[in-house]
Amino acid sequence: MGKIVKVELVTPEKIFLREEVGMVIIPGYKGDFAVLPRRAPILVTLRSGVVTFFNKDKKVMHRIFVAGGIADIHNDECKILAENAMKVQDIDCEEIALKLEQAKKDIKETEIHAVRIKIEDNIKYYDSIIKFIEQEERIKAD
Amino acid sequence: MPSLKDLRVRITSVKSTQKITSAMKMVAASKLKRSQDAVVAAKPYAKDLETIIVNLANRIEARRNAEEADETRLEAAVSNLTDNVKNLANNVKKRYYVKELNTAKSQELPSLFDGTGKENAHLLIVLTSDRGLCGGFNSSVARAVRNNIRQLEKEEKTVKILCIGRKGRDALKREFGKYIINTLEGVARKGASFVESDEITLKIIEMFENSEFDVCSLVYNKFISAMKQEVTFEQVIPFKLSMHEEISDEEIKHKLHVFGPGAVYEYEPSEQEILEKILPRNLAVKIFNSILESQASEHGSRMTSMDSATRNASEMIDKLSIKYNRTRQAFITKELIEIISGAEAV
Repeated sequence: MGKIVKVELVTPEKIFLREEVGMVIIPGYKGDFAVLPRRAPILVTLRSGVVTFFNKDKKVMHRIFVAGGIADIHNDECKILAENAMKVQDIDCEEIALKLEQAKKDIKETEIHAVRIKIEDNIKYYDSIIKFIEQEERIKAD
Repeated sequence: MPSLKDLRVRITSVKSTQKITSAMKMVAASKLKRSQDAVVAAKPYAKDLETIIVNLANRIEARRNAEEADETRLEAAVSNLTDNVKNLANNVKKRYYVKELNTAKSQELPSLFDGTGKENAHLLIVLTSDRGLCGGFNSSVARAVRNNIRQLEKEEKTVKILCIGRKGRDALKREFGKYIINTLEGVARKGASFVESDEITLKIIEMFENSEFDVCSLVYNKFISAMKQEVTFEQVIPFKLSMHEEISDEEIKHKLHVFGPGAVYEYEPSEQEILEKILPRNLAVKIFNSILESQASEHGSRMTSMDSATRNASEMIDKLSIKYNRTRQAFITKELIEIISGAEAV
């Protein structure tokens, strides 16, 4: 105990990733925060954003984009229950842009309240991915 | 006695039926493997979420009880005082405790967890398949639902049915057509996706918010093995711990210890808000899991029933072939006798 954090990233469909890490950065409700070994227990809801896994030498291992969820951290175990997850390198910008356009079209057509909420959520999710990618590219350009 | 041609036709027809059933068995077997894997893969999320909810609820409950205990202790203390001091104390109490009391009230558990306090209207979500030829899969669910509804009718409760899968509606509509509010077809045709369950959940929550029902249960076939499925009633609103067999007592104790009043657990945002946020998700997860279970059961049930159908067909082919051969021989003998007796007559 004390040197590593066991991280488990779970989506409703499967266990997405299970890894022992030196540090993990999580997009929390109020802002991104790092989880290091021996952190105080916390239960936190997540924003859409990137979960970054670092190994013991603080090198980036994985970067995963999650769509909201909840994280439960205690006893050097970090369980991230995300609604949706994909690796950053797998994000297909064009596909997301298409989906976003489709969703924007759908929302104009539908009248049903519940469906609207769902589509709005999706739009927010796609938007956040695109914003993230743009930011990423700006950083690269700099 | 059927003619030779009739027998030949029957044998070919049984043979082609056998081909179909054995092909269906193969297809079901491969789909079963896939959906079984999906069931297993979906378990961790559901289990973790449920543990979190239980602990959050315990935590809120414990705090509420503690606050109530404080309140009664205060009352008792006040009642022991003399009148003058009592008035003073009451004033102090009013001034300083009203605010706290208000926050205590806002700490109530969300209605998705606690229910509406009534049990008058029941919503049954009935999960069946869209297609037949899967043995007793659909009829066992329908039977269980029928019994359940009769029971509820006796207790004079209102019943609403939401069918997921065409066969369930077909089986129930004659007797309980008036209760069926909606039928969803083609759910999980290309494998269950969480998005789909999410949409169903939204509809259900909307109904709940409009107080169209008080209690909601899922009825589905739980997958035990390819040979065995079990019709399961699972209450989802108000929240009930369903996976208790799977979350061991040890685990809960361990968790409770960690979550217990002594431990410094941080919450972001407050416990209440987290609980409100994850309860609808838990509902979606439950629906998703039951769709997966139901699918695995469907394939398992179809596989076994198609297997026995194939076996029955081959038995039938054997019987028919024997009959065919005997008839053929009888004809030959008959013809021989005719020839011989004809020759003798000459």
